[in-house]
Amino acid sequence: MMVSLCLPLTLRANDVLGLGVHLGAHHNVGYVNEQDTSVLTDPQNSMLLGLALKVNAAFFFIRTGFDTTFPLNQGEVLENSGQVEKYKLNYVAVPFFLGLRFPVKDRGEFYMGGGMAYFLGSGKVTLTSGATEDISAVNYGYGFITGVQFIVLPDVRFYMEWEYFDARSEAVLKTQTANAWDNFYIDYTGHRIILGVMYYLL
Amino acid sequence: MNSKTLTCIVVLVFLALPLQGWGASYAAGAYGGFAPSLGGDLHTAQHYSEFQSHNGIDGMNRSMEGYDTGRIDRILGVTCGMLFKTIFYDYYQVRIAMNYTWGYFGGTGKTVFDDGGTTRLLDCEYSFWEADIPVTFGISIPFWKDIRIAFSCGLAYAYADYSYRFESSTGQQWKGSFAGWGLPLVIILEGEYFVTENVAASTSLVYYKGSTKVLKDGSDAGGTDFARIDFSGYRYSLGVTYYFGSI
Repeated sequence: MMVSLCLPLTLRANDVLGLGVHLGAHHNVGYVNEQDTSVLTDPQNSMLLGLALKVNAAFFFIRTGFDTTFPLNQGEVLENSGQVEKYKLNYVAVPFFLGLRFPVKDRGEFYMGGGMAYFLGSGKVTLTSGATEDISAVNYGYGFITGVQFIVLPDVRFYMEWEYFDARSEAVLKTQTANAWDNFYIDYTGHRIILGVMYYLL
Repeated sequence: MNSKTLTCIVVLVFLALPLQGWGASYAAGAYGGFAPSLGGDLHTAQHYSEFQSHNGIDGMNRSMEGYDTGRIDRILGVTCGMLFKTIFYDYYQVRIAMNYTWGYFGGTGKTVFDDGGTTRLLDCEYSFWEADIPVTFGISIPFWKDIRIAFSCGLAYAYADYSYRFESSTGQQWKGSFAGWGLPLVIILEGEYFVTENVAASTSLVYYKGSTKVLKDGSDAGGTDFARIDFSGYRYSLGVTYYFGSI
């Protein structure tokens, strides 16, 4: 009985498995100004809501989970040689990172990892003709994560993370008049800042 | 390499030499990792003039109904390297490394282009490799005897070789080949976890910013082309560092 009561506490002390919920932000979703360098944009900003799962083993960690986005504003092309007027892109990202963690006694930890993510993207693009086109694509990309966790309660950590991914889809829409091909792609590239709370189950 | 660059490198290497009077300790390590979007967008003048792309490989990423196109991914690079660093006054470090990075994934696919009014399929193949010697100076903070977190910045002497080969459905070929060097800015965030007193598992996140000057195409197929090789981008690595003496 005493042993079984002590066991969970011992495992908790090892910070083995954490489950977190977080909010975040992604600026310039879609990188439309990079797709056509002749345009000026008011870029789309999105809020991220997600779950994080972190597994620690000695000084290694695995961090996965998922994030879903909610546009705070739709992107707008202000000066345009192409056909895009407005755009609103959404995605669900399933990241997987592997890296090293650096526990700082009684305070929390710092961690850095690299990995990849799967993106399920969709969106609406309003063209200068007034037509609205639906687009979607599924892709993967590569990136890294850097984060810190602060101990709030014995099993609860507050965490902040910086994620970067480089990823884009195939061309999914024609947004130029000069040629007949699709040229517009969903670009998931960019930095994300995440704030959350993680509960260590084990 | 001109004399100014050589002088700059010699001075930076000199800074990394043993600093006996400053209570310096030394470490050497090896690591491997990856570099997303190696070479940036790989744009050249002919990407626009011949293939209607404003932004290199991203602009070549096209599709069209009735044509068997395939996505052209940006190049994912694999990187490996060795480092030597000197830590002095407990908190300061000079780090010198040698890296080799090459394109491992992406950079191939099929697209379409306008060949004098006719839309044609185009096979695309990009290749890129780079060797660089970054020299950085910064702070390295020890946390007890277990951990070191370091942040440093400096310059790298970087040499890169970038080439592309396009072939249209008619058999016509275009080739471009560029080689040159630059001095990109380098910023490094490193963490080390000491497994033993002298051996640490290490991880680093490195950002490069810079490019070569405009280079002329060295190939002889498909006309003369011009490009600037872009060294900018992130690299993530895992490795092992050995300290010659306890931290």
